Amino acid sequence: MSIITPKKRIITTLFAFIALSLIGTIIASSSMVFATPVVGLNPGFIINDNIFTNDQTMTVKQIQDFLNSKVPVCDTWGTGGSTATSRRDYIRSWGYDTPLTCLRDYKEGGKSSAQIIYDVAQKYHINPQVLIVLLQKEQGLVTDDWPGPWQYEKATGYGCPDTAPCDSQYYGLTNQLDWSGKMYRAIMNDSPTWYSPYVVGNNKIYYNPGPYNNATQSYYGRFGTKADIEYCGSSTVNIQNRATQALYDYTPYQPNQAALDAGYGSVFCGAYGNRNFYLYFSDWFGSPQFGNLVRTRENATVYLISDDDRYPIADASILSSLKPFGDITYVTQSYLDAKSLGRTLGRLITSSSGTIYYFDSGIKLAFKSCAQMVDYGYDCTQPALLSDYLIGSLSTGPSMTNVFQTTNGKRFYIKSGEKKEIYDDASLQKIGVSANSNTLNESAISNLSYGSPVIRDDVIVTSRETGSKYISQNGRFIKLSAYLLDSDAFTKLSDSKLDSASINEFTISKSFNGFAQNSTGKKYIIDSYGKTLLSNPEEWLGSYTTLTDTIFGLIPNSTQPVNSRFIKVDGESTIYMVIKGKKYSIPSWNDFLNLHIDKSTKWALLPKITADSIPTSKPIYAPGGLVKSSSSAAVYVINGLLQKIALSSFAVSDDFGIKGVITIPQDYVNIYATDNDKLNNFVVCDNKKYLANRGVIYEIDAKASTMYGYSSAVGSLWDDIGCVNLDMSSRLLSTYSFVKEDDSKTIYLIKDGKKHPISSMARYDALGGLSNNMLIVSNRVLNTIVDGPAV
Amino acid sequence: MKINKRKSNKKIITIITSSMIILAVLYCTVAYFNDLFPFNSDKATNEQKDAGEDQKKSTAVPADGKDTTPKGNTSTDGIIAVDFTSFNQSTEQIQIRSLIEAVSNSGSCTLTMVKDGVTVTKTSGIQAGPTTSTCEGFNISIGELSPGDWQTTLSVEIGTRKGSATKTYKVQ
Repeated sequence: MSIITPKKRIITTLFAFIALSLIGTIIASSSMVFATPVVGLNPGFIINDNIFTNDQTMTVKQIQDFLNSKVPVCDTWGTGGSTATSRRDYIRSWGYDTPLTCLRDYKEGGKSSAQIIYDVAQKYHINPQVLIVLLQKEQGLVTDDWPGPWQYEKATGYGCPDTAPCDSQYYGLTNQLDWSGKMYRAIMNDSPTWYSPYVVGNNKIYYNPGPYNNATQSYYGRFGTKADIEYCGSSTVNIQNRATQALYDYTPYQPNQAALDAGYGSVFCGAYGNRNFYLYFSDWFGSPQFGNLVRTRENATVYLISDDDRYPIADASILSSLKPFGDITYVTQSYLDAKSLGRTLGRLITSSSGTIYYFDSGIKLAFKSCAQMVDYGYDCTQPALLSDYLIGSLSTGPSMTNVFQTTNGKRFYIKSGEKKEIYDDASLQKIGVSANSNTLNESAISNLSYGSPVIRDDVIVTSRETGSKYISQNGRFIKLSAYLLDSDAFTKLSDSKLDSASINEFTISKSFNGFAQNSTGKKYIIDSYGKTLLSNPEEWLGSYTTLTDTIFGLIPNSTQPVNSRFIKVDGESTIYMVIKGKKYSIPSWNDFLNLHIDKSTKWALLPKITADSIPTSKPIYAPGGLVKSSSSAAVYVINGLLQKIALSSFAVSDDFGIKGVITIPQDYVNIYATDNDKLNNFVVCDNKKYLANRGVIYEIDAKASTMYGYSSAVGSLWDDIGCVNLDMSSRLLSTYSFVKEDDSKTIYLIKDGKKHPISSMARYDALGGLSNNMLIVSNRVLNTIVDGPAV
Repeated sequence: MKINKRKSNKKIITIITSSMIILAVLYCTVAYFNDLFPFNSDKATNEQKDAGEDQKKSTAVPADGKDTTPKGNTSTDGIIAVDFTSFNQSTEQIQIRSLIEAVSNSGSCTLTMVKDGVTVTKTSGIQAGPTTSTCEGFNISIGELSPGDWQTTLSVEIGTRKGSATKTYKVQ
C-alpha cells in the first residue's frame, strides 16, 4: 500500500503542470500563424530604380551562400513533409520522380544557378537580389527544399498568362531569367522598341484577376467577362518610377488592404506577386524603396540620385539628414556617368510642384519666400530638383521660420545669411520678432556664420564652451571675473548661455574688477556679497566700470566693512590697508589694531581680482612705533599714517611712551613722509596741543598754556591715527598746578609761565598742594618750563 | 526521532534542475517553431516557405505538358480580354496604354476615338510581356485631339480571338 504524502502530491502536481505546458506549447507553436501586416509598401513605388539596377550587390559566391542558407538541407528524395501524402508521392502524381534538385544545387548548361543569376544580373545590369526574389515569388524556388522540375521550366513565370498554359519557348531557368532581365532592362531604358502596358504616371491597376470560383477553388482569369474584371475592384496607381513599372509589367495587380494585412498569407480578392516581392526583398535584403544614396567602391563621394540626375553630397550633416533615403549603396562608375551631374547638394530641394523646401532630419519645411531663403544663406535658384517620390519620402514639417531652434536647445535668429543666437524671448521681443520656431539639428545651419547675438541689456551671459560669464550692456559684454561668478552679487540678474562664437561678436571689455560707478558717478565696490557705496573713493583710485542703474538696482547691498579700507583677499591670510590707491600689507596683529582708528577688528573680504587691481606697496607699521633702517642710525617715530618724524633722543620717545625700535629695510622706511622737525615733547592732534610726559599725553589747554608758558611751544603734527595711538590723559594739563621730578624732592609751583621751587612742605600745603594736582614730570618736561623765583 | 535532512535537500535540487531543463526544452521548442533565438539565423521562415510552396503548387504542371490547372472562364473562349490601363495627357501628346490578356507578339490593335463627328484612328501591333501583352502604342499628338470628351474604343485581334474595351476620355 502506498501513501501519497503532501510533499509527493506537490511534486506530482508540479511535474504535471510542466508537462501539460510543454505539450500545449508544442501544439500551439506548430499550429500558430503569426500574420505580420505589410508595412511601408507604396503601390506606386515598390522598389527604387537604383536598387533595382544595382548589379554590384552580390558576387557569385554570395549568391551561392545565400541560396545555401535558405535551404540548409535539400530533401532530394522527397521523404520529408508532414502531410499524409509524402512529397515523393506528390511529385509522382504529376508524372515526375525523385531525385529532386534544389536551386542551390541546380545546374544548367554547366553553370550553377548562382552563376546564372549573376550572369543575367551583369548582362542586363539588374540587381541579382531582384532576380532571387523573382524566383522566389514566382515559384518559391529559393526556399523550396523539394522543388519539382516544372518550377525550373517557368522559374520566373515568364510567358505564363493566367488564362493559358505557359509558352514553352520561354522554358528553362537560364531562359526565364534572361527574358526577365531583358524585359526589366527594356523598361528601365524606356526602350522605344519595348512597349509596356503601364507608364510612369497614373495607371488603372486591379486588385485581383477576378472572382473566386467555388467549384474549382481558384480564381478566374481576370478578363473573363466585364463583371469578372471589375469584381475585386481597381484603383488608380501613380507609378513613380520605372522599376515599379517593370514590376507591374510582370504582375499587373496590386495587393488590397486585406492582402497587406495578411503578411505572406492569402485573402479573398488578394493578389500577392508584388506584395511578396516587397516582403521577400525587405526581409532578405532590406528596404527596396530607398537606394538613392550611392557611391562607387573607388571614390568616397556620395551622390543623391534623383531620376537622371546625381547630386554630390559634400557635407556629412546633409548626408545624415537624408537617412530616410536609406543606406548608401555601391554602384559602378559607369552607372554614375550615365547620370547628369548636378550641383553639390545643399539644404534646398524642390519638386515638380515648384515648392522649395529646406530639409533636415528627414523633415522638409517649405520656405515662405525667396527673402527667407536668402536669410538662410541660399540663393533662390539653388534647390536641387528631386523626384516627387523622394520629396514625398521626407516628412512634411511646418513652414520655415526665421527663428531656428536646435535639438540641443539653442535658438538662433536667422537673418541675412547669419545666425544670431537668441538669449531669451524678451531679447527677441525687443527686436520685434515672433518666437515661433522649428526645432532641427544645429548642423543644418552650420553653413551660416555667427552674427551679433540677440540679447537684451542688463543680463548675464555664460559661454557654453568656457563657462565664462559676461554682463550684457549697451551692445557690449563686460567679462565677469571667476571670483565673482558664484557670488550673491549677481544672482538677481538673468543668466543664460550662448556660444563663445556669439559672444565674440560683441566688444568684450576687460574683466570686471569690482569697481563700478552708476550713471551719476557714485562709486561702488562690488564684492561677493553685493555692492558698497564708497565713502572715500579717493582712497581706492580704482578703474571704475560704469554699470546701468538697472544692474545696480539688482545687486544687493553688501554688509562688508569696505569703507574701513582694511581688506583681505579671499583665500589669503594677509590683511591690507588701502591708502591712496595702494594696498599696504599689515605685518602684525598689533599693527592692524593700531591702524584702526576705531580700534575695531573688521576687514572686508574682497575677491582676488578686486584686490589684485589695487597695487601693492610695502608693509605698513602702525603709528606709535619706532623704526629705523638697517643702513642708517636715524630712528623715527611713526606719528601718523605713512608719516614719521625723526627722534632726537630716546628720552622724548620715553615721554611718548614709545619703546622698542623695529629695524626694517630702507625702502620700507622710505614709504613714510618725514616731518621737517625732530620730535619734541609737544604734539598737535586735531588742532590741539599736547604735552608728552612719561608716556602720557596731556592737553595743553589755554589756561595751561599760560601757566606753563607753552604759548609759543611748537609741537609735531600727528594725524588722527597717530594721535589715537597716544595715551591721552583725561585731565587737562592746567589741572596740575605743581610739578616735580620723580626722583627729586623739589616741588614746583607752576604759575605765570614759570616753575617756582617751593621751599617747604608747609609752604606747599599753604599753596594748596594736594596729591592730585601735582604732576610727576620727566627731566625733559621740567626743562621745558622756564625757571622762576622760589616761593 | 531521526530527521534525514540531506535526503530532502537532494529532492529539492533534483526538482529545480528538472524544472529548469524542462523549461529550456520548452523555450527551444517555441523558438524553433517561431524562428526565435537561436533558430532565427539566415534560414527561411515558415511563412516564407509556405508562401513559396503555395505558389509552387498553384503552378504545377504534369510532366506530359498537359496543363490541367484551371485557367480563366472557359465560357469566354474566343474572347480576348482587353482593358485600358493608362490615359495621360502632357503638353505634347496623349499616352494611351492597354493590357491584353494573352502572351502574343502577333495580332493587331485598333484605337478609335470619336468626338462630335470627328474620328481619329490609330493602329499598332502587339508586344508580348511576361504574363500579358500590350498594344505597341499609343502616343497621339495633342494637335490631333481637340479638347472635350472622346469616345475611345480599343479593338484587339489575335488570330481568331477578338476583344475590345471602350471608355470616354476627356482631353483638356
